[in-house]
Amino acid sequence: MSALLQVEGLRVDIPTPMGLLHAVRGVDLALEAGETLCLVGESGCGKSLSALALMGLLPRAARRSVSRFSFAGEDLPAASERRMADLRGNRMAMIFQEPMTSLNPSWSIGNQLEEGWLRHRGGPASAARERALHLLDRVGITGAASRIGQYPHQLSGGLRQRVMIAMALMCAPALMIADEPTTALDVTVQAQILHLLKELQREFGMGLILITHDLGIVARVADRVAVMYAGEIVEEGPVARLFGRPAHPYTRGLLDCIPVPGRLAHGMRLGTIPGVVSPPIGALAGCQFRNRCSYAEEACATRAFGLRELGGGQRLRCRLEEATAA
Amino acid sequence: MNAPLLELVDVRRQFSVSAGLFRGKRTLHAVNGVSLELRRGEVLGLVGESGCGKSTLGRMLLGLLPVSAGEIRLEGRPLAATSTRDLARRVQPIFQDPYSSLNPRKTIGAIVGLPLDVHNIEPDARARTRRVKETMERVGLPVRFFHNYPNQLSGGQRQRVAIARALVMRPEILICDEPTSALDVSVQSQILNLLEDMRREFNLTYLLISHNLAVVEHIATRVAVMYLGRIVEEAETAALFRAPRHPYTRALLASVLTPEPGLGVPDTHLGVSYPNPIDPPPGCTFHPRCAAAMPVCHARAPVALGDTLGRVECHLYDSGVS
Repeated sequence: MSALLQVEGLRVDIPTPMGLLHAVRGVDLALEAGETLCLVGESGCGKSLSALALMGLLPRAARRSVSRFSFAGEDLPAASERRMADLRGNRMAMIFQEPMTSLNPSWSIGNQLEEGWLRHRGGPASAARERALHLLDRVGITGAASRIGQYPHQLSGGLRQRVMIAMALMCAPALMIADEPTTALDVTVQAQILHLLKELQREFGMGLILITHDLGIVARVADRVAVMYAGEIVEEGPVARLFGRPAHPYTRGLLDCIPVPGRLAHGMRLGTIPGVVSPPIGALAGCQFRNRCSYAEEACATRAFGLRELGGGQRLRCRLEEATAA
Repeated sequence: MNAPLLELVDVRRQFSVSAGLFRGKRTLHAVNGVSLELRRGEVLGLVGESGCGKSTLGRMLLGLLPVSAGEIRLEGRPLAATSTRDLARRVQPIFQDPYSSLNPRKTIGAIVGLPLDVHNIEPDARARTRRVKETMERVGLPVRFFHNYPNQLSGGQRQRVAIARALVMRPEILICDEPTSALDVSVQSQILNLLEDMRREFNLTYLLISHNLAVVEHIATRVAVMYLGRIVEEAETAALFRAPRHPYTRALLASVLTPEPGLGVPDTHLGVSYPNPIDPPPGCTFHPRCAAAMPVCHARAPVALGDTLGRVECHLYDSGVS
């Protein structure tokens, strides 16, 4: 079976006053239909820019290069802007973190839902309206017929995110990218939205790339996980393996940082990762995590590390052997 | 048991809001009869969804917002009778967003020292600088940042500035309103550890307002659950997480996504929407979302039932209701 999405050597460079920012540095991604891949990492690790690069939505100043980019059997590395526009909102769709800023405040939600359908599918407006009503109902918005004429400001945050999801689903995309879709929402709404996303994914057989910094979400929704640091994937693997036997010091650090009810006795300290992400600017050598890593040694400053198979689909970019993880 | 350091007695706060262009004003009961005690040395977690009134409550405790009815007492004395200066010496805030809560045009030294200037606490310039620098060091901010500006600092460092600004007054109580929700997980853990260290070192009392139940479980000793302006359940942290009683508490706990692969995303059975606080449902305000709702819940509001475990406001636990 050929993968729905296959990306190799994705790079994004952005010129800054301090030098060239290598925001994404050679990322390989593969996704099957119906599969969920989570990209996880701290702010500035390049996870959002990777997603925007796939959608062809990078800021104007950013430069993208990719050695292989195939989507649903089509090679896209040199696809024209017009071809990408045909795919966006049609075969691949994206939902963003803040539904208020990604919805147009001066258009009714009905118009915004139908716009994509009319652009890609054409046909009578009544068919678009019917599809919009069906999807609003499907994403759990009660009274869709009365809601469809409303404007974004009349909806709560959870409802807006449901509208965003319905909008992304209009043309039944094969790939959905969700960038922190629940970060701005209450925990109860977050659980509902994620539950809905997984349900719809099964129903539509979509490949889902979910970007998040929340390891709780990752554990519950991902099939596979890619941990990013300073523009690179530092560890990836099936979700059970990655949480069961995390190998990269960064992955382990992230897991130790999060409070988990019942895990620590009261008054115990949480784990920390010292320091902050230093932006990958200019000429880079060695492992970018080394100055925050307690296992770092001289070789880490000079040697470049590739992703190494650890077995069971787990891959690691670090000189450490898996044995030290135990 | 300690006498309460801070006590809320049937506190209410209403806002007059416009219901529409030609519809005149309506009353929103943001805090609708809250009685709560904050005991010395404890960390009280206040949890609930957006719009439940938890931040309004926090602002009233800081004296930033007067109460509409009821009373807040600081060691038995009404807050209304306490001078701003006294209150600020004893109660200090830490806000959610360290990007918008620090003045971008002031240096870190000026920001941390500002409360001292406002309340004229350390008039001697040298003593003031020493006190600011000591506080910065205590919270893990290098003193070399003294002349820097907030935009030169990372999110975690900014939140340390906010903590230093609160601690420079040597307060007894910190009101922390979502202190880590704008931060990355690695920075969140540093700030939570710092808050715990500071609490021990300075014998502080915290009110921790948060929607992150994992964070609350980690540092709170007691938890109060708020829904539409009322405390619906209150208990020791361990007891609340082991055996939540109110159906709303149970739904909140069920929606915590712990990093355990294979469990999937829970279905909270909460229904779609949080009710509009201008138009709260009759009876128990939670009944439209409650899986255990009975006929009485539609008609009559439950009363708070206290026992050794804490307090719960639900007809399920009222033996007088069958």
